[in-house]
Amino acid sequence: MSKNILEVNNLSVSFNTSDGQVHAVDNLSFNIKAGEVLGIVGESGSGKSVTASAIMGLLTSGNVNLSGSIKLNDFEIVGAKDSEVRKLRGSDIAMVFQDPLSSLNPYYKIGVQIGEAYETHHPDASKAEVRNKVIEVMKKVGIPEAERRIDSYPHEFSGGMRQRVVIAIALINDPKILIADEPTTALDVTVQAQILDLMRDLQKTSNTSIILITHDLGVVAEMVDRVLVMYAGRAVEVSDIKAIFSAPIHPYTKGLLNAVRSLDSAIREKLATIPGTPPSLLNIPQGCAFNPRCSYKQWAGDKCLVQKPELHEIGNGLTACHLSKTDIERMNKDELPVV
Amino acid sequence: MARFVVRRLAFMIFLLAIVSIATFLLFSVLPVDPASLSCGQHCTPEKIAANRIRLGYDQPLINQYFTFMKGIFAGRSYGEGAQAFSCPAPSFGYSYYRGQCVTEMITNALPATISLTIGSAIIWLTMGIGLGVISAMNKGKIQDRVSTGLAIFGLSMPTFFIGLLLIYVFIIWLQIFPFPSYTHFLDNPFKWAQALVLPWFTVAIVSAALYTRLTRDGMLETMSEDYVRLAIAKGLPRRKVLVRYVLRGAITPIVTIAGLDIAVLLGGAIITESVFGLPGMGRLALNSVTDSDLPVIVGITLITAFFVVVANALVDILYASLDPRVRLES
Repeated sequence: MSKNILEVNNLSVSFNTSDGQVHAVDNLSFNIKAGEVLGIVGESGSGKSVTASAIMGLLTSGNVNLSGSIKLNDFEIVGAKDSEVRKLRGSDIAMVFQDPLSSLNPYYKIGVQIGEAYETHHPDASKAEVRNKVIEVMKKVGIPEAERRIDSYPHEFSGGMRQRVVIAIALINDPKILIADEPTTALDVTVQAQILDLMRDLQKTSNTSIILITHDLGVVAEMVDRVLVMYAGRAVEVSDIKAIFSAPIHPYTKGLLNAVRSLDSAIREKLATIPGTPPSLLNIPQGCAFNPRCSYKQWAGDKCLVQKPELHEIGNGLTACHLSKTDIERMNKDELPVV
Repeated sequence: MARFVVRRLAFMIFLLAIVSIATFLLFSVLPVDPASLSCGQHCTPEKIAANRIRLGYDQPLINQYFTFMKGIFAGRSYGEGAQAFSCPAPSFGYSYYRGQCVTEMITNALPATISLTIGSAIIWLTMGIGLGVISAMNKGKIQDRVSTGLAIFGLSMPTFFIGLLLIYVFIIWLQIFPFPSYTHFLDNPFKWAQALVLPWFTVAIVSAALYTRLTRDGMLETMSEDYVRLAIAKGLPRRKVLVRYVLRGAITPIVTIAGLDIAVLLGGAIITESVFGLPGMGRLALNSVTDSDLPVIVGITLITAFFVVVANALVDILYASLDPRVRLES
């Protein structure tokens, strides 16, 4: 397949706070090819959004410790000057945020806000050129009556239409990578499907790579090629989309899948949950961070308590789990260790 | 937008009518008898009674009010025969104590007050917003602490103390300025400015503090807005994000408070004007109160109320032009 457009290697991010160091991302590595859709899945606080901010080069404040490497087409983002990274933002890498209601500035017309993204990266463009470009991209993301709506204010748009505006802002410079941070969480279910359809269509026609950050496995199933599952700042599983739904290779992924209600489950059946809560990032458990909540740790023995599992291959995927291949197969047959 | 402006202005006129009635009623119940005040030396009860009739204070209150209001629009004449005189519209009454039309006294006092207000407003807005921006951009760092510290210092100093301090440092000690004597701007702009620099800063130092706080807090709040994150994600330069997004979001409450502060100040800065001997509205008010010069006090009260009501209307209209969401709701 084509070459990697983004390579993240050993990325670690921690924040100095008055309570101590918060390890938001720990030794994370992954890559993404041109035209690929990568899903990053995890609970809140698992480091998904921090990873996105790091890729956007937004973690510049004094209390952030950043190490490792993020390479976009051989350009190293970690440690680059802000003025250099700024040229990539909104042009090569664009981002769509979670809440379209608050992502747009209430004081400016949406045409201005979309056009701004183009002007910044094309300072020589004429007013008419920018306007044409804006109308073109508004039509592309399916905003009706673009010529008229270009002069509307955000509050005159519905939530779904506003998310289309945000996507238009992201797409106006034909980015190589689009990072969508929970793009549908704040929207009605019917609108969610429309926005996902839109993103998938755009991805197919323009060959843009997409990093889709979500906690919603349903969204992942809709449009992702490969999934990266994060837990407490670390990657715990990387697998192809089909593999992850049929045979996950990490107990956490298994737990997430059990927590999704499928249509054929009995109506009054209790929804499965993962026991316990995610660890505090100030105080991550020794050994495997998931070990206190893991239902299968007895199979692996004491290792889970002392040794951090590293990502290694099992089948076609990567997992950070001490369980052996046979144990994982037993897990997927819904066997449980005897306690 | 046009409909909003018209409605807002209509409401303003209604409000002014209410204010004028309230003011008039308030002063009519005061235990001060204007008829005896304007009687002068060698006063007799007969003279006071005659005065009362001459001034119209024998009339029912409602008639007095309408005579007063008519004076504002059509002017008003006093006395009869050879002693007759008149105050042209807009007439706010006649000061028997000073022997002058109130309107004339106010127009004489206004230039100094307007000069003081505009000059100090420019300084305090620049200073206050500037320090606020510096604070917000360097939150928690030394610049922030210094700015916030300066703001608290300014806020906690009494006006008269800062005024006297400035007089001592710049006039008596360093002798940079002569002791201020107010000159009309049109007569000599240089002397005008020379006399006003210290009063400007006196008012500005006290007022800027609030604006520093408002700007700092408003900007910090706006910085965490999603739309600011999106602006950065677009690749906009830091300066543009700061001005068009962060400051823009923080400016609305500042406009509101500035409008009202300016309006109140136009009614006279009593302490500053007294400290620096400026012949403005504040001094006029102070003198009239000391002399129980009722017509002047009523006039000043109405004018000040007028400024506040007008400023309120202007702020609302400005608000609507600043925030498109307000326009829609009207």
